[in-house]
Amino acid sequence: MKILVVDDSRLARSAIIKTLKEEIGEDNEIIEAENGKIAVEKYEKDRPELVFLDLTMPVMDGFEALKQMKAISDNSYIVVVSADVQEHAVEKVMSDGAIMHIQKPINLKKMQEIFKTVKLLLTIKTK
Amino acid sequence: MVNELKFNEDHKEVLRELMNVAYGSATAIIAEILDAFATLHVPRIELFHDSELRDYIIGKMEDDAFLCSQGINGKISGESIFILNRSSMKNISKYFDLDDSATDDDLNDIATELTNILSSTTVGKLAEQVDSMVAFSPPSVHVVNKVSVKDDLKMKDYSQAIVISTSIEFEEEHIYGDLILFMQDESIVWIKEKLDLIIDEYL
Repeated sequence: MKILVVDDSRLARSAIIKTLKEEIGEDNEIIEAENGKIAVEKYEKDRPELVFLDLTMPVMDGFEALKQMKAISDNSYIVVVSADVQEHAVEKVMSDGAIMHIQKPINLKKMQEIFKTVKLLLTIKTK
Repeated sequence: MVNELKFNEDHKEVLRELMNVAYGSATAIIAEILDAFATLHVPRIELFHDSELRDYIIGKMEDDAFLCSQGINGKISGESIFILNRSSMKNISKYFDLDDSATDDDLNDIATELTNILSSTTVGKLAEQVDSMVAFSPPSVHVVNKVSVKDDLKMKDYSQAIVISTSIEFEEEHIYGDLILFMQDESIVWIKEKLDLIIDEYL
């Protein structure tokens, strides 16, 4: 699976990648981006199947990046992983096409929840 | 002891992300109370010693500001200070249906409540992320100006201060505040050890 991890914090990206590897193993292509603008460019070029997207970032925030990614292609599953847990923020990203909003910091239990949802969506999609 | 109290760039980077998570939780609670949507910005983390902190704060102050302080006890031990300029405080008061005739007592009440939430949620969430817990004393608020703030920032009790500076935009109202954490030297040594563990694991 090709996975794009977007966060301005090296720590946050590293935590996502580490728990990702614990959950689904090493055999995946992981791409990193440190802001929304770079993320949109990599999204267009690499077409990942799964995206982990932060919201509060410099240059371009996750809200805008989500909209631009969805406009490029609707084929990826986008999971928002953010410290912004306001009800309004959650509603906005879900209505803009994210499949989940997860509160930071990420841990293995949350990653398992994400993959349960992704597997379920993949099953529905292939039926 | 001096070296034991210094934060390197990796420490600051990890602290920035931990504070980002902590501040996000606090903002969500405040947004719910004000029934408004806040736009969060990436917080800036800066470490200051005595005179540097005073110069920084005075440089950002308008004529006067509300200085809200709260004691912290636990592995992270010290004091948190939240500084809000009067214009930001007036903007906040609009969410409580107060107009320009709001008195300092009205504004003090609001500042006390907000500080209690902001500081206890932020520091509590920071402690949680480094597997610890903290207790808080009741907050106190008073109005300071550029002259009196020098005495109000009791830097003499601490060797350095961590300043988390961020602005929060609540829809049309721009609210700017600095949250300053003063930690006892033993707490700085302790939290650095915790940050080192995170650095070893993730960076």
